[in-house]
Amino acid sequence: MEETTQSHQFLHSYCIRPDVRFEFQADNEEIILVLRAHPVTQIPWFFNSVVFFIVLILLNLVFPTFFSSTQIFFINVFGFFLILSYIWFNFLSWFFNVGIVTSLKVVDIDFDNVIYKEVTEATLERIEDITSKSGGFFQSLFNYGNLFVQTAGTEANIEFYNIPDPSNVVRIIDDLTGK
Amino acid sequence: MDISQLIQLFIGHGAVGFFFKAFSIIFTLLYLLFSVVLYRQVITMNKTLETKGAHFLMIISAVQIIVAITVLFLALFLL
Repeated sequence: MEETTQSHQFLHSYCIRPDVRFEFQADNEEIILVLRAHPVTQIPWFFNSVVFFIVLILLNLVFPTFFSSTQIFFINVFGFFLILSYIWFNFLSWFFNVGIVTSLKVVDIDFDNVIYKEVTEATLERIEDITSKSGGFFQSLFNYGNLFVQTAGTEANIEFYNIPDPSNVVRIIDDLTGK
Repeated sequence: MDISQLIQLFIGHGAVGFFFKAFSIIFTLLYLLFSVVLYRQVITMNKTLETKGAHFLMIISAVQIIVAITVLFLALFLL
């Protein structure tokens, strides 16, 4: 494998040998890759946050007609912190939805809406087939896509969505599995 | 605070003030609940994936709870 040194690319969405541990990591297990959704896919909620701030500012032009100064103050404070919470919630959702490739297995950690936890693992020797799919304007432009890991038997299949450089991840997993 | 003071706290600013205060308290309580759930969930997420920034994430989540309590007090006593 050519990627042997620790590095973080695409704003920590493509981390090679990062200094992290996960819950079910074995003592002799080494983390090779930690993958998150490409930062470009996070633009919608970031854009929404900016729009919410602008709307809150614009609403201040209308508020004096209906509300008292203390009520306007409260709306602004509450609105401001609600928007910050929206940003925080989306950041956490991005940060903890990770795909991990280790020296022994492939792990998919999902927190749907932050509150539902799902961890899927597949050992490298059980991996049958890996498919990367990348298409469309933005995926081609920014080089991101989906990765599907098919496993043998009853083990669950693993899916990484919107990860950077999916074809390189396929190559890395292929190297690890010896295919 | 006796019951008459509590009633005065709500209806002291007329009907609009009453509804504004009532909805503010309900929404800030929901916000507080959301903050606590998120804090609990950040603990779970940090256990699932241990990163160097775990303490920072916990601090932000704790600050969010403090903010939610502050906003609740604002809704109760400022409005």
